[in-house]
Amino acid sequence: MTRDAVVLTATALAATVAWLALYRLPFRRNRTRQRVRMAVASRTGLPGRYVFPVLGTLIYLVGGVLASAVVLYAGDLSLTGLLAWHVTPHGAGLLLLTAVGASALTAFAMSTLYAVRPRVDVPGAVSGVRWITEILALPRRWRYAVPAASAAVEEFFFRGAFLGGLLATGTPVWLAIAISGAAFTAGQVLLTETALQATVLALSSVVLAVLCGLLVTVEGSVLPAIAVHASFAAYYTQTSARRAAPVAAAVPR
Amino acid sequence: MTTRTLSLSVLVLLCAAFPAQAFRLTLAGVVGGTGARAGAAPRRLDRGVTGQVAFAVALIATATLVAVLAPMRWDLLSPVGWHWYAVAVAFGCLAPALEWGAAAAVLAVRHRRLPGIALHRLAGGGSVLVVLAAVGAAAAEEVLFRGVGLHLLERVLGWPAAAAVAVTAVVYGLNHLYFGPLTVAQKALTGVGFGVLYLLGGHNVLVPLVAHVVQNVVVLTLLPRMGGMSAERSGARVLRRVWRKGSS
Repeated sequence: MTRDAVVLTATALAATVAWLALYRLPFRRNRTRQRVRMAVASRTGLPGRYVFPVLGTLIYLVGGVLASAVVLYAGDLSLTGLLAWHVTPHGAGLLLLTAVGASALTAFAMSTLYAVRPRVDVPGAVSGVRWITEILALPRRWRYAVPAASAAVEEFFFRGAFLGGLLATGTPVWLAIAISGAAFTAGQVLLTETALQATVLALSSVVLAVLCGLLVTVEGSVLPAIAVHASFAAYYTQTSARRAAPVAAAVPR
Repeated sequence: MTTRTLSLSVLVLLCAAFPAQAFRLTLAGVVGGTGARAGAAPRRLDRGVTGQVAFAVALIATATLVAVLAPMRWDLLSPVGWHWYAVAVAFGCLAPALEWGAAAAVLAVRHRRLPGIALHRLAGGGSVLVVLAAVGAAAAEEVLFRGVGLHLLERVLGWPAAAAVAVTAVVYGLNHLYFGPLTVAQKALTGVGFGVLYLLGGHNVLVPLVAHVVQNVVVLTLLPRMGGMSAERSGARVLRRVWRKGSS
């Protein structure tokens, strides 16, 4: 790794930590959450049960955009350079295949998990993750949009700014995907509360990190990877909610 | 080889690795699975048949996409000695017995006998749709695992032929995890056979494809008339039950 690659990695990791801390730490205590919920609800007229899903999503999206801006600046990267995608039939087909492949590999990983431990409840574990539980409290149409928007920002940061920055420094593809993928996976695991949640999210994160990383490398743009990740997140959040109805219904009010 | 070609090869290989398992799981939630019992209410088309057809269509679509996108040239018209097609037909006829023998051997190690096995309820029903679906699925699997998988691993990534055959066979077997670990072992075994046929038959996917199609046709049309024997998809559910009994 070159010195530039080390500096970019350190900057991106620091930005990731700051992003997750901004999202997680201010409302860690239940007492704080109650006070914020009441204050926001009374001033905005927003129903109490929507306060944290909306506020949490806004903080997450803004944090992701700020973290991306920092890495773009540190790596001297061009926003249009990362997003520009010369659409070809081959590229569109590859986007579709990657979306299918991400679902197939994740389904296989979950099948293996079931084969090893037949009694685990994967849909229940997914819908029990706090940020997903909060999303499921939103009206139905927002349950697609919110995970898709969060996934788009995550994808832009990890596969756009972080991976794109590493590739621009001459880092080998496998190493760049491994580093940015490890940071993405660790970030997802840090947002879980149980070992099963951590396992399930880690498996799907590794699948997305590798496939979307390769897709970015092949297509030279982060846009198709954003499409894959956003559709994946929206679909699985909904599917898990449907298959674990009792958990989804137990949304904190 | 360029970084782009290498990345594209790995991406295609990963995306093409486990479509069957995903489609079976998805269809299980949509049309009651690819071998589910029909509901009590009368239906025009058996849900099990619908599931098999939907599974085959999804698999064929994926195989087509993979075949188009993979960084390789297809040469289906390369000369292949006719005797390799004869060997493929013979292997296809023997494959059900090979799988049955593998299952019996595994159970014998566990000191259990393979009981008399009834065929899957869809086998022997005379449904042309089920046979066509099985033929289509066999063709798609050969394109995915031997035509693209084995070719990319051996010719593009430079793996030794033995390692490429072994990996594609294991991945092909794992695509049958839905039916239980015993079926995975059975399919990995025949997967080695298909891989060897591909290599010996001049790297032409038509050779293992013929063998696989023959195997599925034998299982769905001939075995039911012979009184039933476990093989391919028809016996898989029964074998899963056997495995569960064996492991419990």
